[in-house]
Amino acid sequence: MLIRVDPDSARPLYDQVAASVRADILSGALSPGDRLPPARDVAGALEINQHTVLHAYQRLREEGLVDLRRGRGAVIAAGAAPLAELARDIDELVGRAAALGVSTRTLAGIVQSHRELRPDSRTLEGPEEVSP
Amino acid sequence: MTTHDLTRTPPEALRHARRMFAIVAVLMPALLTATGTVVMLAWMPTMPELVVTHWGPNGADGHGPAWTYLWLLIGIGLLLPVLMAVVTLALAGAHWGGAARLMGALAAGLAAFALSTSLGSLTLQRVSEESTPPRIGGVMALSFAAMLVVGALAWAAQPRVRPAEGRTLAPRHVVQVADGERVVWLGTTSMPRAALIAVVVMLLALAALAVFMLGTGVDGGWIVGASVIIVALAMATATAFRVRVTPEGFAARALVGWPRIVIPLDEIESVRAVDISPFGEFGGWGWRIAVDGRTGIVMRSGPSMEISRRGRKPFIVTIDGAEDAAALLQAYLDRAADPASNAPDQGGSGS
Repeated sequence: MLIRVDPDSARPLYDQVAASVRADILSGALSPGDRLPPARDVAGALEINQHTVLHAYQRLREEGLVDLRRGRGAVIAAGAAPLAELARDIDELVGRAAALGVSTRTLAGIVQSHRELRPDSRTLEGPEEVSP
Repeated sequence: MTTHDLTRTPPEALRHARRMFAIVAVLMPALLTATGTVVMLAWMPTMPELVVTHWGPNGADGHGPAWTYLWLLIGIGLLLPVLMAVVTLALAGAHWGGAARLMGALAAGLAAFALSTSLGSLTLQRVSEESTPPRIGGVMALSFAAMLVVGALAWAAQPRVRPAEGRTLAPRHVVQVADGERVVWLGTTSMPRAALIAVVVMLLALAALAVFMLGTGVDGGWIVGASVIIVALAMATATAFRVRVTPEGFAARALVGWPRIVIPLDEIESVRAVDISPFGEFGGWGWRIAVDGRTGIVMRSGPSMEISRRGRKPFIVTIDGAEDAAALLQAYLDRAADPASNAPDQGGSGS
């Protein structure tokens, strides 16, 4: 799994680590059931603090992309599967946006506000309101 | 993937290698064993009811019917080589290599060994019917010599096939390293689960046997016990490795911490992702050295990193995502080779 951080970036390090894992899920390099390397190893390779990596893993867990289990470490959750399905659409969207001169930053902002507009839209957990 | 596989053993050479392999590993044992069988059947009427079948340090110490030698001959001289041949042909596939050639030579050698020991032992007992008890030393020396000679001939008879280079795999994504950015790649390579379970089950069975033997006071219990411990230790050091690519280079270590290998960036010449076959090229799995001198951590067939080192043989590691890992390492190599590309590239296009 590829992880990239830019210590000089304004973006928090934990967020950069989490983004790398998300990108690996999107690219198919990580799929549900795959184990993430121990935070200690990631921190050692990136030369950052172990707690930063744990923070990133925690964040991914909140997003439903990762299961954290004591003794088993971080495992890509089943909820991450839909993300890989979006990969092609996102590729296309980013490509079209670039062709139209819209930067990814702007695009991300639009996506974010879109989500904020419709808080009731489906989450990654899948439909929960299945009537009994 | 439908790309044409240029580096695999060419079909013509592969067919030739497999044909010669079949001749030395199947046909030759069959002929040798058939000859031995005919000779033995001719001797049978004149053989004593019971013959010596086992020699200890002080001469003969085991007896059995003369038929024992026939079964021994067929088992070691034919069935075992055929089994080796089938396994080798199945596992090596299209990636023929030195290890497969060695198996062919070994199969032929085994057949010669079986023929020589069984006929030799019986000859001894035909000649010295009731005089001094026969000694087996000479026959054994002769048999090992026969095995070496026939094995060497079988090795020479087979063509030398350049070890399959494996197909170079391209990364699915562009791997770029921007200035100031630290990009690393981490992965774990481990034995296939089925293989792991098989080994663990075998180990447990051996452990149970050791406990039983020690408990009942059978000789050799401690040998079994010691081998269980040694195999368990070997397993612990060889079932899974953590691999990482950093701007400093490549590193891999076993989950238990040892063995480990660190290859600094400046010792690496180039790197690529390849498709390898552990059996054809390395003869098996684990931390291995191939017949052609490459070393590597070989856990399964498929995508692997091949790291060419300065002045040394390449290092191979089988790992999922080898394409990306190799691309990243190559990006660092390119950067080191061309420091100009490291120059500030501010205000890059809006990506």
